[in-house]
Amino acid sequence: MGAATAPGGSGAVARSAPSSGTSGEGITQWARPRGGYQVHPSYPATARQARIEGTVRLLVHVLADGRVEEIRVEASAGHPDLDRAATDAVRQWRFEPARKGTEPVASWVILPVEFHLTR
Amino acid sequence: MMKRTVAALALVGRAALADAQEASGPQPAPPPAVLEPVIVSAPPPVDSSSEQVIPGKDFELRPQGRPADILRVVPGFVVSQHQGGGKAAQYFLRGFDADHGTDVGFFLDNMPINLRSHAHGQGYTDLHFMIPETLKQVDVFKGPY
Repeated sequence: MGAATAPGGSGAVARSAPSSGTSGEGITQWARPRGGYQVHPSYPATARQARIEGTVRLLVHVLADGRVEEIRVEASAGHPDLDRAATDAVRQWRFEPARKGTEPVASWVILPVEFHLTR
Repeated sequence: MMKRTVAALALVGRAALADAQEASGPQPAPPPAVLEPVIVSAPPPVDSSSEQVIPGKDFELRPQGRPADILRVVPGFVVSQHQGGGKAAQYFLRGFDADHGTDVGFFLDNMPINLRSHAHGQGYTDLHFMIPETLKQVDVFKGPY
């Protein structure tokens, strides 16, 4: 899991990036999932029955202690149940917090969750 | 001669570092990092009559004597226990005796349950570890295999 810096313009993100929390300035290392503390989302039966696939982009506020404080749906997957399944799972995650130098700080990260129907 | 080369390299290295720091220094509030995507996959909904999904509601509302009894909601599947327990149930599928799981593949969260080389029966499937209350659904695939 690489903590790559966000590509693309900051415009779209800045609009949805909440004012609370950190701006991301001075962060030397982004928050990233901590091994072993990731609850995998389950595919909602309703969306599966309707054959709905999609990618939901979650905006996740990771606290300095690695817990998730808030999750916002930045871009919906196209079905509310998919968004909910992703949100419910990621809310239980633990992260390695972002750091400014050696000091852990709260930060926002974008986590895409892709739902695919495969045999 | 060697020493001088090393020193020169070190100098170059430091200069490059300083350049990098300068370049990354005045970055104005970078947007949130995008993490690697989480992939959630599931089989497509059933598309043949021998294939089915049994939602949890179907067995949550019935009393279950034994964990394996939830499989009784599968049409054509009979589960019985010809002893007090402590061993796998006896399964019958479409009228055929599948013994303790021979010729039937059982999976829980994609984890295979059949014991291939069990002395009592190859494919022996003891479902007593299963907690019916925690199950979300049962997927059934009756194939020609």
